[in-house]
Amino acid sequence: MGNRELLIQMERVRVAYPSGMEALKSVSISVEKGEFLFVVGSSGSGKSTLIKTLLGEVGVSSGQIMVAGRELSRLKKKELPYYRRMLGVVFQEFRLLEDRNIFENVALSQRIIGVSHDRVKRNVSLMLDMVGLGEKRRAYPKELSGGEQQRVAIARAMVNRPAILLADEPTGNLDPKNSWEIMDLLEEMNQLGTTVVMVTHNNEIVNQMKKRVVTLSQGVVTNDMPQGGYVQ
Amino acid sequence: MKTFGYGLKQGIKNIVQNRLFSLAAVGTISTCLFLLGIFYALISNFQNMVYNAESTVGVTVFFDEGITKEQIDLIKGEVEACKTVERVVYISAEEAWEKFQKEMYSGKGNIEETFQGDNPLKNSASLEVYLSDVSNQESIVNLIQKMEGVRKVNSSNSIADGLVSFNTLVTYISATIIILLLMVSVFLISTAVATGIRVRKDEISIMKYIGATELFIKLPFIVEGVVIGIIGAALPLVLLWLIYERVVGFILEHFSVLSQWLAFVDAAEEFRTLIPLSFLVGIGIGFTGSVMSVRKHLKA
Repeated sequence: MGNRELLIQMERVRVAYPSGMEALKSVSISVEKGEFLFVVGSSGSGKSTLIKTLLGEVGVSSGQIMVAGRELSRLKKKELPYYRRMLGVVFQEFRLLEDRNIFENVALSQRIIGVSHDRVKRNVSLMLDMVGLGEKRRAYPKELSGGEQQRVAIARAMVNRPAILLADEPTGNLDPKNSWEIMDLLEEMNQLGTTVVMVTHNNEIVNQMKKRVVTLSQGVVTNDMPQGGYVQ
Repeated sequence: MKTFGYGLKQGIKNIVQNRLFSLAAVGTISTCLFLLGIFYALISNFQNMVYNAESTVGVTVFFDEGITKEQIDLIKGEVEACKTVERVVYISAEEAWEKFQKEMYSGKGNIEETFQGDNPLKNSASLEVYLSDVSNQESIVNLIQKMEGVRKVNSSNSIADGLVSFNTLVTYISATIIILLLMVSVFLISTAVATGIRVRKDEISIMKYIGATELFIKLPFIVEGVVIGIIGAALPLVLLWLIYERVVGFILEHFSVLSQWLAFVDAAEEFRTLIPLSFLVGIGIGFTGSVMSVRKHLKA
């Protein structure tokens, strides 16, 4: 792992839901700044809980999570939005706002952090050009293909230049061609310095990308390979 | 400031998107504030008439036979010292007789000749007492009756009591109706806002992931309630403004016989209070309804 700065440190993290079900059992993972990490595992292995925990949506029952030097369990409720501005998040089902055009969907991220009108215009246009949708800025989500919608979601997640991009099955609803376009885009974001944590079921992508792979099984890390492949 | 601008824009968008609920809420607030306006106009005009009546409805004090002018002056001083007494007028026996002749025998022959210069009201010197608050009449009458040298105190209790109790009745009825309508308005605004929250559930969850603060998420819904409240207050004010002067003009024109009792408040003066009152109540209803809904449906 070299001397690079640790951005995410999870130490013996346990997450139990009120029903008593343990989604994560003593998970320890460290992610360096600028790293690209795949999290794989079967359904119910705890992959989505891991993402939710990093988003601060689910609290840890025991253990510790440090993100960019901040301990998540010590964050106050009113500090959570400001912590989340350090993260970008992409979901399997895109989750775009149907009543707003592409430009407004991406601009929402900028408006939330209080960017001025002129800068919103400039930054969003740049971001849409970067994901190859500059020409479709006035289109509405329903007018776009699945791949294009996911590119808008990535633009929305990245327009505020977050340090970490959390992607929960971003290719889950896409055909192979569109899936690879999305992976190229994520790779590009990673090359620009963003740390990417991606949860996926897609073994073809994992095997070809040759990135670090963490395998979860029933809430436990069963494999952690620097340039690994898909292990069930 | 940017957050407020965004909140305002989204709040207005919410109103348009939930137009049915918004219309129902605006309609109820308008009805509520229209009634508030009518009751306010009724009460303020009635109070004005009561005030007018108070300056004419008086208490008359008569004295024991043989009382001197000095003794009457002493009683007058004592009465004037009472808190709610506005003014006291001394009517001598001669003035009383002249007034009686003028009112009762004007144009009906020379009454002076009948009484051959005698004053049949020679023991009828009196004090006319005018009160600043007619509701205190009874206690003042009781007080004067106990004064030495006072034979009899005449008062128009029925008029005074009637004015006060009618005023109280109108106030109670209007307050009850207004409170009920206020509650319905708050409920309807709360429902309109809750619908908006349900419709924008996905957007709210995405905004939370992106890092939106509580204020940024909640502000559009608060704005929605307040804007509905403002519209709901403005509509009845326009309507009341249009009809107030016409109604007053109509009453004065068609019931001119009653004009000496009907002292209406000027429209400008009426609305000087009614405009801020209506907007305050409208904004209050909107704010309360939306905050209730946001607290219930937007838990962090």
